[in-house]
Amino acid sequence: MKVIVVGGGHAGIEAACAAARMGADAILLTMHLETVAQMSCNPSIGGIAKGHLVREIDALGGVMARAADATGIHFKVLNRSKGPAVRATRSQNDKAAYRLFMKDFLENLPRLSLYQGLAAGIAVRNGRACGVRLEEGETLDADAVIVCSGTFLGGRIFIGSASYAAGRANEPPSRQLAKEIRGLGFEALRLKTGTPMRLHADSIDWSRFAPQPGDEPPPRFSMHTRRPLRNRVQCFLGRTPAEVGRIVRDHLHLSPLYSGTIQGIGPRYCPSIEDKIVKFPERQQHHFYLEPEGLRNKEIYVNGLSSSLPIEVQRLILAAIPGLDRARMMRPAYAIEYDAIQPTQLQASLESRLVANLFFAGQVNGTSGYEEAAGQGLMAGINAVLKIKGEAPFVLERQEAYIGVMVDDIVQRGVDEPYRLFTARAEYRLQLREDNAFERLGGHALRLGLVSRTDHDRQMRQLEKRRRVIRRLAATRARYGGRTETLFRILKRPGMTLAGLQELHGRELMKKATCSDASYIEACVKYEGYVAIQHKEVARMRKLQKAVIPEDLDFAKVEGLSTEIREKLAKARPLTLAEAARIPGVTPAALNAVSIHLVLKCRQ
Amino acid sequence: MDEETIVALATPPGRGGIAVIRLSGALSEDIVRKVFQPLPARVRDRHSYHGFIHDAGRRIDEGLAVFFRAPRSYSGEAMAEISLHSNLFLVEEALALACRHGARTALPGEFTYRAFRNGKLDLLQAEAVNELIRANSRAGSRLEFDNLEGRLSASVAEVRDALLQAAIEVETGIEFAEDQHIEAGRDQGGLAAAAVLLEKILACSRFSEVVSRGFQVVIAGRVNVGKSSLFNALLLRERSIVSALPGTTRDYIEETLVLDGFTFRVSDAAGIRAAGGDDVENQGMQRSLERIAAADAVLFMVDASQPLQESDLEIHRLLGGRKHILLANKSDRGREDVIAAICAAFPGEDLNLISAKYGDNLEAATAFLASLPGELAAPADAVAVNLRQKDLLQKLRATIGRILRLQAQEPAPGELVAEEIRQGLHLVGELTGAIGVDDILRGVFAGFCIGK
Repeated sequence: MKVIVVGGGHAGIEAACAAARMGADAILLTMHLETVAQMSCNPSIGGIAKGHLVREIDALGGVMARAADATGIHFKVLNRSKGPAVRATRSQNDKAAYRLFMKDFLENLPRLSLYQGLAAGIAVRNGRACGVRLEEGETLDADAVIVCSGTFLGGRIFIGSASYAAGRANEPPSRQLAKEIRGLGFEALRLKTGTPMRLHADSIDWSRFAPQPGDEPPPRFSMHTRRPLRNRVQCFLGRTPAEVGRIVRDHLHLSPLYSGTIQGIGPRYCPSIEDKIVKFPERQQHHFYLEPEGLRNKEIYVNGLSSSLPIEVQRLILAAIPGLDRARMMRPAYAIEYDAIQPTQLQASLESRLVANLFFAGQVNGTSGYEEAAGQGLMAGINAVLKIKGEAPFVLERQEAYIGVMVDDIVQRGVDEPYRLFTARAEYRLQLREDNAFERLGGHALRLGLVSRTDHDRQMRQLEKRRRVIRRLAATRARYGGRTETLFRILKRPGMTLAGLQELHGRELMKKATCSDASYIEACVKYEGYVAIQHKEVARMRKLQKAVIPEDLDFAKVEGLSTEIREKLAKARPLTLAEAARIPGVTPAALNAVSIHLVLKCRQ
Repeated sequence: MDEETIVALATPPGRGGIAVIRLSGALSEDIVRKVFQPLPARVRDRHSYHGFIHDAGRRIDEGLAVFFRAPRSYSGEAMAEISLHSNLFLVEEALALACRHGARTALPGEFTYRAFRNGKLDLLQAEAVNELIRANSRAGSRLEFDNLEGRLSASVAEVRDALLQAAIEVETGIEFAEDQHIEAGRDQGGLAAAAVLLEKILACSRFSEVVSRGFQVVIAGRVNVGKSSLFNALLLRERSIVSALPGTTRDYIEETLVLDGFTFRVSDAAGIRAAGGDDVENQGMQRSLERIAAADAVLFMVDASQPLQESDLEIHRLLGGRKHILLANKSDRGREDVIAAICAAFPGEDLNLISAKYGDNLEAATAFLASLPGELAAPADAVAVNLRQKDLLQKLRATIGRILRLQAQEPAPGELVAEEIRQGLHLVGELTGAIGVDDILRGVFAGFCIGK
């Protein structure tokens, strides 16, 4: 079994590792061995919904969580004051250390080979991917190919009126591969993203900014991380003065985003400074964060100031911000346009519908974010091996994991802007938490051979411990608010926490309870009623999922569908009524028509 | 196979002597057992049992129950039917009872849909059934339902917008508040207004129900006060008898009368007897109390020719705050002292002297009846709401109530607010049919009328 992964970014790494762990010989093909695991944009892993993804990747034997822990220099739990389901871990990472950790990890993983080369095309025989042709003239054979090309397919960078072909600043794009992938018949999308400038730490007047320390004790991502983590740096919060708005407005015509030079669609949730000022003219100030890129690195990432304005305008902006007025720019901000494939051309396994054994994962699928990329890479790696073995694909359901939500969203609905995961995208958000990733996914990981029996059993024991505590809460009574109730019921009260309960009870309820333990227990108690309702909903959804729509169903033959809906269905090719139901614009009446058609057809 | 058991009224609401409530799904028999007794330990298939519908022992009505085993039933699932007296309040109570014991209100056409799915009907048959049901309801409709449905949709759209706005606020708070320093909106104005609007729709829905089933009017008074004479006089005078229901097991007669285009179902609460055995009297009083409680208005009669009796006062007490008119009958033989005593006994009430026998001043009664539609609700605000919609609207109101309570907590559990909003939007989707994500298989046959 041989799997080639094209691209050594966050998706490619997880894809190659998963394939190797599952017994395949995996080749991780990258343009530059030095830039494997490069964090192209912010020096940070996790965040809301993203932290959830990282925990899921960890539960499925992925690498991202351990790398983030090992190279983290600042750790924080976001939404700490909100409920357990929406709390999320985020780390600031030393970018260089992250790359080195990953390279070292990959070099030492059995059956995985790192290989430097530039992919020029996918070798296809009988409609099936069978290898990768390199610009260097060599062809590598494979049983499955996973494309994780990030922003490199047809990438083009824009800074003011200047523009040049690149996959990342000053790194060549994959022109030939982009052409060949279009040549195979894939519909491409043109998307846009951007990155802010990097400044020299010593040129910043730090006294003008509000420090943002990490949390103590620092939270961790990985179940494998044993050693205590340390916060080594602080981030800083700043605000742009109104003057910045004037500068941006005066020079807007020089921004390729507004002059019409950039055609690609950018993410609404990660706007450039020019977008923020144009779209929110009433706001006098905009926030930004100063984030160190590493310990032995003076570069400071200016989170919130991504831009495509000319460099001289970027300098004007900096000069107008107190504290950055003397800042020396080390790298300018830029916008980048790149090819993505419309992910509706993929199956839920991330295998393409057009070419068998060819998988796509990561930013090339129209998503954004390291974590989104890694989650897809992991799934593609697993499924490539299952495909070669002739086994059923591994597809996570929406109620099981954010990974399942994400993959289902993109392959069913497609993307029209870079897709980012939000917790709101999950119907079953209360059940998809950081604290129960193992409970949700540990069984799959063990069955697929992604984690060792020892690791699995250790987590299982921890889970059992948590469950025992919950049982004890239900069996123990205490006086609270003038009434004697079980601890379980008391914990249900608004604002009550496990810590508060321990105080009330006067005894420790769980020895060495971590944040995650407390979160798990609180969630199980507080969400009990909601989760029961959701289980019913899941059962209903399952029924729709069982209503399979044959892959060869001709929607033109289904009576009673509008042309528009017919086209939507034909394009999205839902495999079940549940999938059809989630396609925007597909009405209950249309589903009715499809379901009647299926029943009649099956009776004939 | 759907695991949920559904329930609905299978006969047209408010017509005919008998209403049939139908259940379909695995729990059908279990649910009927909880609300109907007596039943043998093992019921026979397609055999009817006589008994009582009860709520935790309190008898609601007398009727018949029939059980059908799968697949030999209309829907192809286990089914049960309960026949009871056709009174909208009884039917609603029985439906609510079934829901309390685990059934769910059926979506329009859901029985037929299940039948279709289980291979009991082909598509053409299903469509034919639907047409038949539609034709019936068209013939019977007394309100411009389409127009009013439009008004309901507009109101629901307002609720949906409020929910969406609240969702946007809470989701922003969850995803971005911390980093972006966005003040997560805690403006409850929209949702609070939505709650008020829902209250209003639900209150108005009562009017439309009343209009479509007819105003329930009870003539109450002691024996020999002349109720039957008034009853007959009103009907003869209007010459508008629509139907005569056979006297059922209940000891009252009901007739339908049409005034100004509105339907009134007038009944004679004949259960109150001044003398007789205690038990009989108590039972009679109990039934009268129920009749009066179920009435939209009461024609309260006393006798102007004989001194007031204790039972007159008792009946008046039973009226409570119910809308009523005081009629003193037998004006032809009326005695001054009696009339004065009546005025003294019922202070603050307008006394209307009538003679049912000779038809004197019956206008007092008919004018009272004709004023009822105007007083119940302004017809311009009326919203036609069927049982399924009402069920959903009530759930929606409850959901919004929970959202407002959660929002009032400090700190507000955003993820739970969001979850409730999600469920609220889901209910909105079921109401308007505009969005239907997961209940579609049951909702898709929405062209069918409920219960069949």
